[in-house]
This record gives sequence, structure tokens and C-alpha cells, in this order.
Amino acid sequence: MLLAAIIFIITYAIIISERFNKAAIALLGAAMMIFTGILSQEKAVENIDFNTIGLLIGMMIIVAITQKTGVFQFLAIKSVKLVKGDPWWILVMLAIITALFSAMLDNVTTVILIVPITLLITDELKIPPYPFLFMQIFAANIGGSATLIGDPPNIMIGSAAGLTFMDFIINVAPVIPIVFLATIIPIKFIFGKQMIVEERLKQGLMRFDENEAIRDVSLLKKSMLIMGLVILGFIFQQQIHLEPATIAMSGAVVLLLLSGESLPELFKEVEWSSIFFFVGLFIMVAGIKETGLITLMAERVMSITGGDMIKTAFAITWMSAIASSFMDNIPFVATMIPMIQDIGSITGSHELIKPLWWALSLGACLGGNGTIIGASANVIVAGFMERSGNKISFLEYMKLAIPLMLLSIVISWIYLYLRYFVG
Amino acid sequence: MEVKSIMTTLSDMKVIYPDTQVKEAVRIMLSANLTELPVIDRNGIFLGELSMRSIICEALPTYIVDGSLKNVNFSPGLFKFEDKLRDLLTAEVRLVMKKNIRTLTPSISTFGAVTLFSISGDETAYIVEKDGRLVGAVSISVIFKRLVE
Repeated sequence: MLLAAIIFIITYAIIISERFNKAAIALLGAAMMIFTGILSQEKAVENIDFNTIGLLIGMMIIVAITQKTGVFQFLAIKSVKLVKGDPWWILVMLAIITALFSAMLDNVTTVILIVPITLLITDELKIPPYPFLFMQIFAANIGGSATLIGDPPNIMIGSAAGLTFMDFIINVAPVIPIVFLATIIPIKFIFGKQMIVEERLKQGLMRFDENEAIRDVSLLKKSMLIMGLVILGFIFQQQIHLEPATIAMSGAVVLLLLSGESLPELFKEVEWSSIFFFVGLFIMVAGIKETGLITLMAERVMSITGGDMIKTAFAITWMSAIASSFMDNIPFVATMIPMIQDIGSITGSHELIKPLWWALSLGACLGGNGTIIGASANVIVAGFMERSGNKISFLEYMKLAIPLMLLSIVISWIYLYLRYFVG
Repeated sequence: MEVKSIMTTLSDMKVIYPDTQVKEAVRIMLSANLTELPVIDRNGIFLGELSMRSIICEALPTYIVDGSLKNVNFSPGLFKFEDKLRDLLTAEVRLVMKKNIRTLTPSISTFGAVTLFSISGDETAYIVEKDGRLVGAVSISVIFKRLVE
């Protein structure tokens, strides 16, 4: 058990330090679990969650094809013109679009699509992009929390706990609009005064022609059809008895054939580094689980909380939020999943622990907003800012982000408490 | 065949200096029907290149230059780009020129030059002596001219 813990902690520490490629380090940790005999090769492969891997790859391919159509830019420009170029309402519209996109796509893809167009708009309006991008970071992480496919932690939780797309919509999504509002209202008070723009600049924006953003109408129709079918597949997942990975991969393959896109070219768009990071993590976590370390952690948590589900859910929500603020939430969630499963085994009821999954999901996804390194989307936005000459400092971001993140966690906790523990 | 036997020699080339105004450099390019010019110091040492492409790239926002926003057909223009371009024209060449330019030595073969063109996508290569002095340039068209003739 000690050896497994040492391998796990060292690997974890190197991943957090971000000095090396995290996929390579996770795979090295996984290899160490096998070389030291903690885990057999068969057991290691068995523990790779191919449902998570398949869902991620399938959605990455669908998004890679769909983004070539220009539909995301079309929607962004359309929304900006709808509010007649008013900067505050542009911020609101772009944040809503970011949240909606990120509920259906992964957060990194969402910000890669939305940030350049936001920078173009703020350049045109000659206003600082920071308030827009700050809100978009939050919107991406908030929107991503709402669905099974919105954020990798949810994909992992859904797959491990057998939770469906609709389970997330019913149990997590209802609190999301409240969290969104609670974030954007303070933003209005803080940045509202900067949102003054000359009429001539607004008129410049109104001359944007959103129809020109659409590059391939035929591909757009095909992409929308497949995207719609895939989402329908997720919604009726229980009725059609298919795992999300099967639905996403099937959609990806059909869209690939319909679009005539080159597969080798498309494979370049798949984030293989993230995929192999997951593979390494699954094996590493299986290693410490095999030695009984996770069960020991679960028993410890249960003894601290006295087996009280309210206290356990409270601890998981806050622990996840704080940990996810300062480190990658994926390895954290990968470790927490078997622990919550063990808590389920200790209590003898997997129904009783369901709120714990929602606590983990909300804590881990929303906690990522706390610092500029808290989630991958944040890092991508910071990179865009830096390249465009508007570097965000770690502390400057944190000064506003931490209180807003804590507020979102307080709201989430009140929601979880009222919904699952009262009466 | 060595490039020195086909290169355009310095005496037949237009050159600019780091303190030349960008606007003046553009005028030289337009009058000589060129899209780039070598930048040298007063001792003839090669420092880099100013091209119309590099001026545009400097004026455009980074999210366009780095390919993050590939299609901007929906926008009739960008005030920031026009303003920046205007500012750049009054700046000195040293602020806009590209410094890391691959150069060739006079003794390199034309095959070596052709290889450089195919890899870099450039159409002109500057010929620089070991002491850093610019002695000439060879363009892809000169190589073709020799082939055809």
C-alpha cells in the first residue's frame, strides 16, 4: 500500500508542478504501478474507462468538423447585433453563448471559438477585453457543469456512477442559471462603468455580416443534424440502452462519412495528450484502489463525518472546490470517484450517495473558476490575453475570482442541502 | 553551381537601414516592384528583412495572425488595424523588421538554395559572408531564369 501511495503522490506532485507533459507523467505513474507488481497488465487495461475515452474522442471529432462551418462565429455575431452593439449586453450575450456552448462542447473548445471573436469585437469597440474574458471563463466552467458532456469531470462521474445525461440535467442543471446570475450581477457593478462606447464604433460593429461567417452551408446542415441526433441520443440514453461513448462515436463516424473530411487531418484535432492523460490516470487510480488505500480514505472520511451524508456532501463540495481552484480537477475527480464508490459500499446504498456525485460535480467544475490555472479553459483564455498584450496576473484574476467562486459554491451547497437533505 | 555565380550583387540591390522610416521603405518597395527589402547597418552587416507581409502581420491583432480567427469575411474592417497600420508607417524599420532570417553563404550550391525555398516558403534568400556582411540575394525566379535559358 505504501509503495502505491508513494508512486501516486510523486506522480500527482509532478503533474501539479506542470513542469512536464502531464500525459507523459500520468502514463509513467501507470507504468510504475504495473512494473512494481501493484497492478497486473490485465487489471490495468480493465480499469481504463473506455466510456469516458470514447465519449471524449467522439465529441472532439464532431466539434472539429462542426467548427469548420463557422456556425459558432455566426451565433456570436448575431447575438452582438441583436443588442445593437451595447457593450454590457454584448458581455451578457457572449457569456450566455459561452455557457450554452460549453454545456454541449468541452470548455476548452468553447473558449477557443469564442475568445478570438470577443477580442475582435472589443478591438472594434476600443474597450478593454478583460471583463468579457473574465466572464467567459466563468461562463465556460458554469455552463460545463450543467451536463454530462460539458466538462470532463462530469463525463468521468457519469461513466463511473452510471449517471445519464438526463440525470445531470435534472440534478445539476437547475442550479446553474442561479450561479450564472450570481456571477454576472457583481460583474455589472465592478466593470459596468468601463462599458461606454462611441456611437460610431457601435455602428462599425453593426456592419458585421454574420452570414459571411458561415463557410459551408451543406456541412452546416449535416453537422447540425448529427449534433441534434447525438444530443437526442444522450437524452434518450436509458431508453435506447446505449452508453454515451457509443452515441458520440457513432455520431462522429456518420458525420465523418457525410462530411468527406480527411480522417488523418481530423485526428490532428483530437487532443491525444488529454486522452492519454486519462488513460494514465485511470490506471494509477486503479493501482491505489487495488491496495485498499481508497477504501481506507473512504472509511476515514466516514469516521470524520460520522457517516452523516449531509456532512459528507458538505466536505466533498468544499474540498473539491478548493482543490480544483489550485490544481487540475481531472486527477482530483479520478481519485474521488472510487472513494465515493467505496462510501456507497460502506453505507450499503448507492441511492443514498447520489447527492455526493452532484456535490463532487459542482465542487470540481465550479471550483475551477477560482484561479487562472484552475481549469484548462482559464489557461487558454490567459494565453489569448497575454498574446494580445493584455496579460492577466495570477493575483489580479484571483482577487475577483475567488469571492465569486466561493459565492457559486455557497449557492450550490444551499441548493444541494435544500434539494436532497431537507425533509 | 554556387549561388554566388547567379546572385544579384549588393550594388544592384535596394537596401534600407534600421532608422529608415517604414513609409520610406514601402515607397522604395513600390517603386522597385518589390515586396521585401534587406536591412543592413552602416558597415553593411545584414540585420534582417522588412517585408510588406511583416508590416501587415505587425498591424493585425495576434488572434488573426496566429490563425485563431481564420475567417473575418463578416467584418468590413477593423479600426484598430487601420490605426495601427498608420502608426507603423511613421515608425522606424527596426521596430517592424524580421530579425531571424535564414541566410546563405556565397559558396552554397543552388540546390541548397532551392531546398531552403521549398522548406521556408520564402522566394528570396540573402547571401551573407561569414563576417555578417550582406553581399547579394538570390531569388527563386533567378534560378528558374537560369534553367529556362
